[in-house]
Amino acid sequence: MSSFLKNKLAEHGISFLIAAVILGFLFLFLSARTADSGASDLVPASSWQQTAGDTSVTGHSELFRISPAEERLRFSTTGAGDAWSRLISLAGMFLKFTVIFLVVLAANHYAIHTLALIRFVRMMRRQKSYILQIADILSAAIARPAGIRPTKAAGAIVLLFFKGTAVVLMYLIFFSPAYIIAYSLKSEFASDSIWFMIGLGMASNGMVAVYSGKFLHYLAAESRQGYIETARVNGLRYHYTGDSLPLRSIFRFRKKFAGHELDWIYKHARFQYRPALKEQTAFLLTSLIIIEMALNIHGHLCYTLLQDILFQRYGWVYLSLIAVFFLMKCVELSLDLYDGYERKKYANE
Amino acid sequence: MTVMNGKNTPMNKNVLYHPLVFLGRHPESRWIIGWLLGIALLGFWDMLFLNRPALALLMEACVHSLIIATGSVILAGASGWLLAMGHYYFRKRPVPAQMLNGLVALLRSVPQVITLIAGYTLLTWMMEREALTQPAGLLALTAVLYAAVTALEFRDLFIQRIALFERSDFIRASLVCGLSEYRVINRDILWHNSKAHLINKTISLGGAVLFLQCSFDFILSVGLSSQVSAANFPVTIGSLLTRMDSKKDILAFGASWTDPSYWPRLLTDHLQGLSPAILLILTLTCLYKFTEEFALRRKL
Repeated sequence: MSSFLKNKLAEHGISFLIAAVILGFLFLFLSARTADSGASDLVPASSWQQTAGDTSVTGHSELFRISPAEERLRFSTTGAGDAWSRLISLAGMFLKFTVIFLVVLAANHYAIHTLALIRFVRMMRRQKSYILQIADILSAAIARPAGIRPTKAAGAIVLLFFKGTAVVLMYLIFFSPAYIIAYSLKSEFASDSIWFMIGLGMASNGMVAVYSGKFLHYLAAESRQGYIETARVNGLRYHYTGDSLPLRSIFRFRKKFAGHELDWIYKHARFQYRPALKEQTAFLLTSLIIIEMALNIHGHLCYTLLQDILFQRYGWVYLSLIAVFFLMKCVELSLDLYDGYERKKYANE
Repeated sequence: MTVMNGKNTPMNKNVLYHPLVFLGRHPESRWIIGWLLGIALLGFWDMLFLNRPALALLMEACVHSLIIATGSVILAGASGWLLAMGHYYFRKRPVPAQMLNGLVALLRSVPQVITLIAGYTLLTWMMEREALTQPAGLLALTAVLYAAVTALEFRDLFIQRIALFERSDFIRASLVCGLSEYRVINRDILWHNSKAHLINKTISLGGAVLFLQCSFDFILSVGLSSQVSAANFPVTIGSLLTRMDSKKDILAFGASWTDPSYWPRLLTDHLQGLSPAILLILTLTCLYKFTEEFALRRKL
């Protein structure tokens, strides 16, 4: 085992243990205080029905079909058999959550890089925004009415308007919190579908827009570097027109732009982007947890976690949180290994 | 004079930060203007078609959300600055430096969402036991909670800026000139030479806090306790969206895509849910586009 891997394992292992101990103390404290008070077990039916009533429109009401006291009895973990079956069920949910997380992570990674590259190519082509292009056509038509064919100009304006509207809509969807999109589609999609959750994870919560913007910054910064200018002088292709850089090459899963400066810009930007990758995965994890919790997706880890908090089963809460934390640590460790591998590749040793 | 010749003198910089010059000159200002116009239009429309109690509630929610977002960004900035100062001044003292780095590593290793869930669990527990009843106290503690998960971003920014100037002779030369280290770090580096970075970080974190806050208010509506619900917390944009009427309005918006004849009614009959949703999405989009264009123009 290399010293790098050992160091990283030790670093993540220690932080995992310390956080686990602190969280453990917090939940032990809460459990002890809850057991002491005891009274919270016996909430009158009218009270919990009233509390739940004003917040439910769809699935939320299902949470309150039975009283908290009944719910606790239902999930009583005094029997070892019950505890084991619950543990196995939780492990299954965790596995499902991990698979969804990895699928959305891969899909997001592709979407972020592709969108950033499209925007970078537009920037290098010095393409104006659609609204400015419409303004240009209109001002040209006003300045030289004889030189413009009205039908052609009108067609171009309509096309640009639709393109612009599509971009605006795309951004509005990207920046919509998942629950807003989900509740506006509720009548057409089943919210317990895994694919629905994957779709929401990809398209909502500003994930793709924010991180494609970050990646675009790295691309723009690399394009200003001296080595790129030197390479241009030495004959590397640098035009961003359709002939020189076909659009389909941007949409490929493994993005390569052989003989073009973008190949080097992309490689180096990807290298610079490594620290943001950790941030991106942490945000994605937060985003998926929010989606599962806010949408009441039954049979999923975070919905169960929320139920456990609600019914003060702090032992299970602790276990679920530790599982999520463990997943995060595993992902961070993999990213550190990738980081080490990339550094080694470019190190001048 | 300096503005005319375009040189990057301190005076020119001050003029560039003047709000009126800023709004008229730079591409990112389009997003501020767009946001202000959008808010004004929405406000005008709501005044015409939204009932008075709902409008008052919406305004109260905006104020609360703004207080939490502003409070948490200020607190995050202050704690980030303290952590960065600790990192800088304890460099030559291994024991406190290691302790501080350990604390930071620990804070960083816990995902934001776990901190927030633990924090909200604690808040609801305090409310159940009536240890926390005042809305002002709740707003302040909520701001502290969000500041705790965003402070490290400010700390990283401050450390990154100091490290950048450490690589040049700037700090050493200033110290030789007789300036105090505190002044060089805080006034010359973190204030005079990092204003653009600070503006960018402050605005982007404000957006992030708003998003997280609305999402957790939504989670709160599902329930973290059988006795405490979203109704016990001060009303915010997120908690407005969790109300039954709001959810129905958003559902109506989705349904209207298959029935375009319903669109006019959306603009008059479903404003209770659509107004906070539009407000939230418009704010998040404009804040993000503003910071993006600002960073691209300033090459941050």
